[in-house]
Amino acid sequence: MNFNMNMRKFLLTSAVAFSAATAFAAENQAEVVTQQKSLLEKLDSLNAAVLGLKINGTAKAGVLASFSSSDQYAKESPTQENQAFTDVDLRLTARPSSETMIDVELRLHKDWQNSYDENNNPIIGHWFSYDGTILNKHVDFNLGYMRVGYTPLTVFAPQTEILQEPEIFSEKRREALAKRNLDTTSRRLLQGLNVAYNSGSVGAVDNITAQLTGARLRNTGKKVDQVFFDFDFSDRYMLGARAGVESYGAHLGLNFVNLLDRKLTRRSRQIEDTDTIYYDNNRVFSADLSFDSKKALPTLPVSFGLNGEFAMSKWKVDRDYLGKEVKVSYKVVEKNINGERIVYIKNASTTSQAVVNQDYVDESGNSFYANLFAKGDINDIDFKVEAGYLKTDEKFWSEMASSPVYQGRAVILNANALYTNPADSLILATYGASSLENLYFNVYNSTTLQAYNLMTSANTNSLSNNGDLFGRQNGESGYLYSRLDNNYKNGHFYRNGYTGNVAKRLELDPLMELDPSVGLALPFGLATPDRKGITAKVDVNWADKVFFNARVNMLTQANSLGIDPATGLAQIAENKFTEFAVGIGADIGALAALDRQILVQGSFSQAKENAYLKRTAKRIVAGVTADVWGPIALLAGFQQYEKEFGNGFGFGGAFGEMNVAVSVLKASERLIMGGIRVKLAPISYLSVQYGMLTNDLDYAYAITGADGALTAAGAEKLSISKNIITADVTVNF
Amino acid sequence: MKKLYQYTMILLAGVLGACSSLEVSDPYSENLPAGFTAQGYMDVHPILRKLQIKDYVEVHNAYVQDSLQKLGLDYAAVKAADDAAFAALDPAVLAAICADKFLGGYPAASCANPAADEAIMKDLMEFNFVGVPDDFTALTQVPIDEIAISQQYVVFGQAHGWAYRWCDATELANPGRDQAIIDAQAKRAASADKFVADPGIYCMDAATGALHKVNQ
Repeated sequence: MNFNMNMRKFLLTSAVAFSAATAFAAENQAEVVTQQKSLLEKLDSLNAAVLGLKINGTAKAGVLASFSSSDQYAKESPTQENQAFTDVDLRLTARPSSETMIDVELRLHKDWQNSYDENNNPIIGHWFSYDGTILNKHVDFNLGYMRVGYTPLTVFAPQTEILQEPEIFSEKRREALAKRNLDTTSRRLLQGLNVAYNSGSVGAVDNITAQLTGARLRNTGKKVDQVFFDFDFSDRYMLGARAGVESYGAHLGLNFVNLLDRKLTRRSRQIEDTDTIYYDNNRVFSADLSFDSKKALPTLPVSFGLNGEFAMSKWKVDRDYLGKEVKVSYKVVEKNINGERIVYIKNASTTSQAVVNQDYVDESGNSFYANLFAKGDINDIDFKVEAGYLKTDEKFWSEMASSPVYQGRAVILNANALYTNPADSLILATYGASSLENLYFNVYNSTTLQAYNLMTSANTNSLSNNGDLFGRQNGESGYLYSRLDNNYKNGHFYRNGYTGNVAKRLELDPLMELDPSVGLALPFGLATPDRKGITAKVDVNWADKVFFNARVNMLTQANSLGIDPATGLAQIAENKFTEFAVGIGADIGALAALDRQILVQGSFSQAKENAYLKRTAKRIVAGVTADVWGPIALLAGFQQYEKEFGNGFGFGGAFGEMNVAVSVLKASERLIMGGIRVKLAPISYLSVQYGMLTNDLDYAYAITGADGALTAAGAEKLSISKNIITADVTVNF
Repeated sequence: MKKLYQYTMILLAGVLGACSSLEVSDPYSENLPAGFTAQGYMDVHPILRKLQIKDYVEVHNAYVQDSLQKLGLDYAAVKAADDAAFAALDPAVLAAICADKFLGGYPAASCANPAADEAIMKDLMEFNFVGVPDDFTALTQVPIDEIAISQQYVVFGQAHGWAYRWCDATELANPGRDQAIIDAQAKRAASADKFVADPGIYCMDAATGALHKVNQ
């Protein structure tokens, strides 16, 4: 006790001394701080940072009509789909102080097509955040919805890049992304808490940064309704931390990210006989280094530098399932042996069901990339040239950096069409509609909730009472899990090719790799496992008048699947990817010194692989964005996209008694769009557009009956064309 | 005052520690006579092993039944087919099972053609592992549960005057069991406290099967 007394006394005195010291230091700074603060507040108030509540947003009213035709449609198939809607996005911002802000975004969506059966129309909130820059602007924080990006190997969102994409297309893509709360940056959409510290200049060090991020992630598609609204018992968390130092134009950082399933909550439900529950744990640690000579040599017109990263990953999965547990117990048993009663001890081993936990995967790997760049501005020519090398192990896995926002494979327009050949239905269900449709179109509905739209039907594209994969009537689809993404209980529904979900490696649909819209060679960005090779990039901008871009990627996948030409059997093969893209754009208005923009753009890209499915993807893009007269602008775009599967891309499915196998050989897609845009007010427009979308698929198929006998087979062509008309008024306020 | 309390506690703990024995008592061996081995006891009473093996087969078959039922298959049909296959085994194998001390336990003379003897066949049929092609090998590999064997002596054998080992030459002159106790035990006791336990410990003459008291 005496000892404790002494200790307490000592602590007290030291605390007093310490606070005295800090108080002394604070006193010195107080003046500077108040001066700074008043200055900043003045600046902030200029920046519309008025304390209180502010409402702004976007209102859009319009129609989207799609008329489709195809020789493969069934006679009774609907061919027209209409959307007539008023969509209002409200943004409410409240500033309790000059340093922090509450941001709430609400969406009201009225579907005039089904307005008669909507008794009440729910408003959904799609953004809630509390953000701020506090402690003398040293600490930034986000609470709630946020977008966070670390480095390409830790926290990152791989994006689609289409060179010189005309505005008529890019605007549509941006809109489809926005419906999913996504943007075109490489930061990830997360919900949680993010805190970043910036020291500012400290002696020779320009900045010291530290950042902590914690987020709750979607775990699995939910099949069972929860008792209380949408509270999901399967928790998954992301914890991220990084720190960095900047000095003389160099930056050195350490990054860590960990994703984990929380077992306790996942196991709050009894495991069923056929269930196996997987617990994922993914950890990535990386060090990144960059240098830019601009800081050290600011007078040179050209600066050069490098950026690189080395990462180590660990991916561990264990699983729970119901197994047998043998319990040994002894029973004293009396038995009559040849007329004599004897008692013996019976070994009564009973087996009972018990949860077995098993290690399933434990893999670790490394990834590395380094880029050298030179950039500058000489005689109005702004340029950046970049070349790099990357090497990623087959066993490397970084979940937060690997899920692209574009996943495609949905049927967006005319999803209610019916087909004569079950092979066509299977293609639409599994392979999806054209990637141009997925990239540029989205349908947003608010529909009355009912059992039909809360569940998924076995028939992919429409609400049908066809059997499921097991031939049950009104069954749930075999693709149920992949479609639960579209299940918003509020009664708002999407048909959208984008998602902000961070998919687990076991969940990642292998089909996702098949749409090269996101990159044939690097479908998961720089973190794509099992890649080695070089990448190069050139971007030139001459006074915002002429633009040029080029990309070259030459990469190798060491352990790809291939086909032995002699035996026709699958084997491990090296797969070489060759990608290149060239884009050019010119503002003829600016070149001819007119007072208006006439931007003409075009690009060509090709991606090829020499093994696996022997895919080739070609894309041709062209477009015009021109101010015609006064407030009227003309927008037009053309895009042709072709993907070929040299070895065929095969998949199968069952429709009632029939088993269908399909091998897609080639997909040719084309989208032509044009329209006018009238500026009504500074950021308000009236827009009318027409588009023609065609999708031709060459495939081979075979159908077998319940007895396994072949009933139909052959080579077919599925061609669908869609005429699309959109008209809308968008008002920003 | 506080220090006194602490010292008292330390002293108390020391005393308790000094008094306790580090020897771990084993309730299984404690109740058994000196020189008792499960193997030896089992050798004297092969019936215990026979019952154990039959139980083992029964557990296996119950597991097979459970698995088949889960798959929606008919266990009775599978069992009938497997039993027929067992009955049709090589007569030499059946004879071996029949004559094995720990399996059939029948005298060699009765085991010339066991398939012909209905009673013996009925008994042997309980050794049939459903779904196991080589029953004889499986039967010889059934693990011996020594605890179940030795505890039978504690629970029943000792009180009922069962021999726990073979006699050696010096013990053959020792007296056998008390006839009064044998008579009393021949009838089922009316209540637990009326039961007359045999206080003696016996060995068995390997040649005659007679029991002799073991000197303690």
